[in-house]
Amino acid sequence: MQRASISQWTLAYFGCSLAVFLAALGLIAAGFGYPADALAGPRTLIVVHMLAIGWLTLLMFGAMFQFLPVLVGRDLVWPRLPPVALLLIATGLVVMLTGFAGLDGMIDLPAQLLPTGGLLLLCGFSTAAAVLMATLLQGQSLPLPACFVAVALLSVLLTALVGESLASALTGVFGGDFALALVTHGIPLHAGLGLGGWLTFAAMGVSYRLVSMFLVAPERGGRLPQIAFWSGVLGGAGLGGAFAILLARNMPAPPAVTFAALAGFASVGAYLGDIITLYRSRRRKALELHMRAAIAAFSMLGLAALVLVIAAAAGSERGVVAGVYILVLGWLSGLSLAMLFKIIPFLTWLECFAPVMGRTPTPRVQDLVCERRALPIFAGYFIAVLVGATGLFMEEPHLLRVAAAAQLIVAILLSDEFRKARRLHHLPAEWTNWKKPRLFLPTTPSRMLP
Amino acid sequence: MNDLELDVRPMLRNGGEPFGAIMGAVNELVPGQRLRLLATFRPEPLFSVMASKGFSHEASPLEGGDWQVVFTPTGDSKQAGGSASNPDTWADPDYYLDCTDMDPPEPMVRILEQLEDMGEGQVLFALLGREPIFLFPELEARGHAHVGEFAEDGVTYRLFARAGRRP
Repeated sequence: MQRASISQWTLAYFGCSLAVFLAALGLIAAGFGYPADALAGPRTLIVVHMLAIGWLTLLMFGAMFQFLPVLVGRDLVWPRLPPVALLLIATGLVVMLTGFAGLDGMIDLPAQLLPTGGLLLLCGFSTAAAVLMATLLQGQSLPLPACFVAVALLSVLLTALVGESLASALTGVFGGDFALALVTHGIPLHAGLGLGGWLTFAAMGVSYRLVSMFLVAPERGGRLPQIAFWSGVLGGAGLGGAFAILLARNMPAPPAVTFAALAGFASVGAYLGDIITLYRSRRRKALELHMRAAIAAFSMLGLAALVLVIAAAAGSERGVVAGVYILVLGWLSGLSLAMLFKIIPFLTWLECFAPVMGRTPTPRVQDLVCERRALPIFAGYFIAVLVGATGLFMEEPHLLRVAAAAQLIVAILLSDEFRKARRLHHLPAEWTNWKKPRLFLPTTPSRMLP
Repeated sequence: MNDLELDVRPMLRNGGEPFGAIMGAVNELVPGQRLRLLATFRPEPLFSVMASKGFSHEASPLEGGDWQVVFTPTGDSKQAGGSASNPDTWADPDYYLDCTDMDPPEPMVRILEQLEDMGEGQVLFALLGREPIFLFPELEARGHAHVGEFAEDGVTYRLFARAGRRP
């Protein structure tokens, strides 16, 4: 018998990740990091890791603790471990960022904190991945979205291993030709595995199921999802192979990286084709705001893939940077914000109204949000991302800072909408005195909810 | 005795759900009369429902991909009530809900609302677009028994829920 329950720690993950997201946008708006600092400079790396780990990875893990049991119809294995993983990841991130700051000379602390932080992160990722992987393996069957998640979990561990090697080389834990080769050629592999193999692949898997559920469209079967999956696996294998060659021979492997890029491009193309089909075959003609905002995020993925391929072929560094910006802030962050706009009200609704549904009238999930207010916020966000990417490509730092400031403002407004959903703020007057859930921390419900 | 014939093909082609019409026809049958049903597909989900009402079935393909099913009364329909733990003894469904086009969590709300209005032992049959995994713990918490399975298309989920005793 399949069943599901509310994940106790998901909202704590969401709360932490949103806080880091706002802080990272604030730093970009303040002109911290690239282009004032080098692309691989410590200040740039601080911002990049805040976005990739503090914002996106925490969000993804939080979402998966809720989503994966629903996907495979099993309760989460070892439910006490998610808070442990959260603590390890948060501590590891702070220590690692401190290490970067020490490397930069901003603070008088040893840069050796960098690999220490990396090790804590590796422990945190392993804990979260172990819980999720064990839950997957308990399932009665492994639907395709779950296969995406499984590969993404392997990628996050590999990303962290490559990152830890880089951190050790950067801080002189080991030296010689190997360290030099790693620092010279390892960063694109680390970034590709993290942003592609882990975050994008996980987002693809999760969205396959969520999109079909929210649009009331039949699940996708047939060849395209298989192409999306296996091309992605080949892309990840290409990056893994390039890293193995780097380890064994201290040499880069451009053919393997090119192969990985092309396979990744094919995977994204097949996936976007599937998403278009899902939208077209939907049984609910009216689109809620989160699914309209998701269209913008999917478009950003297509745009980012195009920009990255063209820029890489042309050898344009600023083109690659602009492409990565669209990928991270347009696709990954945009999709995350769009899905949070549905997931937070949905979980809040379950927490507050599941025990009484059917017995007394309950509000609709949509009543917990105000789409009219949120629509211009989402529109502003995606426009600001495009302006920011243009600023990077044109090498206009002021344009980038203005765009990041605009993104920061709309992200604060959206976070406030999430808070209002949790506080039942938008519900009609008759619900004013209804018991409100905690904002982020788990509640101990009077009865274990579904 | 003539069979009662019901052709639900036009309804199916218009995207309709013929379950209600079929149950209506079953209620019109005189004792011993057979029901001859014409459909655009082999209506597997119906066979278990009709078996619980005491009908055997004989399905045969027609030209153009349509199907004819003849339901013959066998005279051993289930007694009302039955045992909650044994779905084979449950009464025929008195209520039917089509939730296939509903957005979650609406199917959950509608099913639980319906069960609140039903007497102990009455059965609800619901069609859903996916397995309602958040609903099961809620059904159990309220003392309703349930049994369900995916239809042959692997997408539609059929749920039988038997109302429990009121607290």
